[in-house]
Amino acid sequence: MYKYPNVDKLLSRRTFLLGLGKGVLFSSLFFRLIYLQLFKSDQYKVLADKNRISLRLIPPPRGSILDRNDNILALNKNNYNMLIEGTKNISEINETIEKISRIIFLSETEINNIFDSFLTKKKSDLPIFIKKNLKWSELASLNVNLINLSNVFIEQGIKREYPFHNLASHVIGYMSSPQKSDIKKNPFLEMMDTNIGRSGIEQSFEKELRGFPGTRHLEVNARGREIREISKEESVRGSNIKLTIDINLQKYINSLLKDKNGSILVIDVNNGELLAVESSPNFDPNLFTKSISQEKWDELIKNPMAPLVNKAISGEYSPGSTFKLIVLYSALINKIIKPNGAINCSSKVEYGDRNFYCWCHKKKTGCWATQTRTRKVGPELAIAQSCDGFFYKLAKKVGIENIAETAKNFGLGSKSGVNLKGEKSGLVPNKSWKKKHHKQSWKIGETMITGVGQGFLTTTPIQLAVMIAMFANNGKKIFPTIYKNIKGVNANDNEVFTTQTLYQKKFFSLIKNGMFSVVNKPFGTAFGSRTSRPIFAGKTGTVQVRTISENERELGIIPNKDLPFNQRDHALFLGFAPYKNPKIAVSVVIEHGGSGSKIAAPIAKKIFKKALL
Amino acid sequence: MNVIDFLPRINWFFVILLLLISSIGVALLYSIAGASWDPWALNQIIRILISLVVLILISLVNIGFWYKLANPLYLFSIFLIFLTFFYGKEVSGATRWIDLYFFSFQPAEITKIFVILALAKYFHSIKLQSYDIKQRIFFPLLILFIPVLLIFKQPDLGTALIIFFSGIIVLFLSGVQIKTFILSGIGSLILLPIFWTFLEDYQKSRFINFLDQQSNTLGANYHITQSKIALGSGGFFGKGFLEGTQSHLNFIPELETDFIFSVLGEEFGFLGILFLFFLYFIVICWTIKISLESKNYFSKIFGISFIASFFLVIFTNIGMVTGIIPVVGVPLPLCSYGGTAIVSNFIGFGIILSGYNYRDFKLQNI
Repeated sequence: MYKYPNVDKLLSRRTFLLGLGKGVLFSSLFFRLIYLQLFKSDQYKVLADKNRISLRLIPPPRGSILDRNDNILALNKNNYNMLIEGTKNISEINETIEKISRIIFLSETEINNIFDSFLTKKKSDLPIFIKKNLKWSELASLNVNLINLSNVFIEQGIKREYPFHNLASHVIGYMSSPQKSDIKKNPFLEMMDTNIGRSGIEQSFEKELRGFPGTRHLEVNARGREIREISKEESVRGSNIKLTIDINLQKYINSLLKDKNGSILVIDVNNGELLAVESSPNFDPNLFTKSISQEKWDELIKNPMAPLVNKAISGEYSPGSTFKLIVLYSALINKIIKPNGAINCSSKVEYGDRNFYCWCHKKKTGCWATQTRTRKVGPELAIAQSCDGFFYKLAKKVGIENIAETAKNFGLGSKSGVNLKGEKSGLVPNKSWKKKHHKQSWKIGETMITGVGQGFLTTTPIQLAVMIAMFANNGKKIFPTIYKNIKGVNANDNEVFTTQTLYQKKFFSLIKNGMFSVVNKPFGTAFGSRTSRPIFAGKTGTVQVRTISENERELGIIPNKDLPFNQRDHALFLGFAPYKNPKIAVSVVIEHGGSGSKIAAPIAKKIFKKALL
Repeated sequence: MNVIDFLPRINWFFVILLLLISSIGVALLYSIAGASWDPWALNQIIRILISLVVLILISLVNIGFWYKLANPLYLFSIFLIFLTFFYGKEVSGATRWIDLYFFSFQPAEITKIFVILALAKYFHSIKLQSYDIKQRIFFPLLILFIPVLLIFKQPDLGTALIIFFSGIIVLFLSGVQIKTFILSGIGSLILLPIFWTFLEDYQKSRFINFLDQQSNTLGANYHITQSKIALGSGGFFGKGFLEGTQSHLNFIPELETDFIFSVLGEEFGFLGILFLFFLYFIVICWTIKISLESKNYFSKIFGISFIASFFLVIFTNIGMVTGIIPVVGVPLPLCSYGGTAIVSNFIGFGIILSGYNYRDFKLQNI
């Protein structure tokens, strides 16, 4: 059995043992402190210095966007933003929001945004935006109450402003806050208050416009609150971009397209400069700067007329009768038809088990040829009258391969290369394309349909503008450009058609002569839009978007006005002016507008008058 | 009797020693508030002065009185812990505080003193009896475990562990066989995984973070990393009073309580720490000396156990701040901001001084 010793003696002994234990523990602290404070001291001193210096980026002023006459289309305006100091404490944010809500109105979206940015940001020492673009009244009432809001401050920032609002909005584009994917590509975006270009020039020339951020080294506390500035390097302003757009012309065109769904381009036939690019309906880029509300955004996104889409470069349409210029040119250079040749025309062409109808089929007035009982139709009349019968037969003779080659030479079927994002390439079909995509061989009937610009063939309005400009300038290859002054990029080497021969000048005059007749001869399809100042030429197109059954043809084709909107024809007109010495070309595409001659041609006339007089 | 008669009976050397350590704390509180008496330093001075009065009063009362009061005080402290479950004020997820209108009170702190007091009395009362496991181990452990488990439930792991180990120290001093400690030590290592499942998630993560200090410097280990930077950058001489960037720039949380030692290390360097260590060393040694000199076993075992527990808290706090043990929220004795901790320690030293003043008093007589 355990003999219990004298407790007092035992206590002394145990106290001594305990003291030894304390000594061991104490030594561990002692040596730890020697290690930290004597051996590692230099290292920790560096860390301590690093700790209190925070790098902040100063967003650079963004370059302005100007039109060709130096009107400012996009500029920076000062604005005032309210921020809360960086914090790790969500209740602090809650409290502050509550306090601020008593002073100024904060919408639910704004409050949600504050918490979103609180939860998503990686560095807790960066301030968070509470409200951007404060109004003067808000600024005034906040300034009075700022003493009670120690963790809130107001910062002057810059915001993008578009003084012309909806005008040229598709070309200029808009800006909005960077998304997660943008930040991944450029982590600096998170460190400064900046938006990035989302479409148009703002997007294409984001790098040039943005400039270089400046830096501020700040001594901060653990909550990121600025204590003092250690050093500052100013930001470098982004470059200005001067566009080829003429905003006054654009404004006029915008008014012509009011309540219409379509696009218009005006291009300089000699150098490819785009004087106006309008897509309707459009939008006000200023909406996005103020962080657009959900309703407004839904309104834009859900609108069936797609206001955010630049139809001038992204809309793919059958070119309709405007494509006949290509077919005729292809026939001429491939010597399928002589300039003075003619084809027996009829309003109904039968091939295989299909019938191909001319627009004049069963029309009371008929076409010039039927009225004058002319059976033989030459190229000039065929263009002027837009004889479908003529082109069915001609296309069949030229063959799809030749047509496709010519079309590609005029820039169809591939992107024009204009510096705007979202351009589509359209489609110029040929035999191998069909084999590849439809696993079927090409049918002659499809060549005939292509001959009148329907079928698989699609083009974008900008391609059509380039095409008509090339007819106007006798085949000189041009590249559409939207800006005037960016170094290195504007190499607009205007190469001349490599296949151009002496004969071709003759072909171009022949085709242009046909286009002159379209507008200026009584039998022309756009005779109603003729004008002597300036004399212009062009080609109409009315693009069918539905199949007309044989039955309907017998009963009489339903007129556009009786059809539901989205089954009505697209109205097209391509033209150039002045006729003698072409300067500009236009491409007018009105979706579901009706006939090219009645709807599109009058618009083109107005544009020529406005632009050239 | 008037007050003057009592003055010579106060151990001024010891009182001044305690005040010296406390004023280091006040100076640091003044510094981290940005050279301001607000919000901590002035409050702390008031608390120290109140505690000082308490200490003097306790030290003047006969140790026999405290011996008699040991069990009621123990029961009273358990009652206070129970109160926290019903009337407790919740501070960051734990209900450790009782709000007494004019000040908040943390029963766990005072419980530590009263548990040691109760155990000391218990061992004193059985010291002449023969060695019996039930009497020498199980019953004392029961006295110990009731408050420990209650405090663990609050949850306040740090204080629960401190009280637990303080109780074990009393058992050690009372003469429980060393092999018992070794065996139960091995036993608890085996039971550790079971204990683990009772821990709250944040407590588990503290341990995990402690074991993995290099990674996650911006996460839960942020505090420790910043604290080490503060200490390390202080170097040998320190950055000077009021000059600490780490502490002034607010990188360290709970500077005024758990991390006050980092401020000392940053502003006064290794030299300042040595000075504080020296003061603590004198307090500890002197306490052990006067405790051993006492004629009654109760005073001896209380004094030595109390000072061992006092050392344990110092070690835990500094060990945590320097990153050699996990983060357990215990304050640095006499320095950290906090009324209950100061009062509790001064009560403890008061009882020790009472034992010293009445060192010849024979407790068997009562």
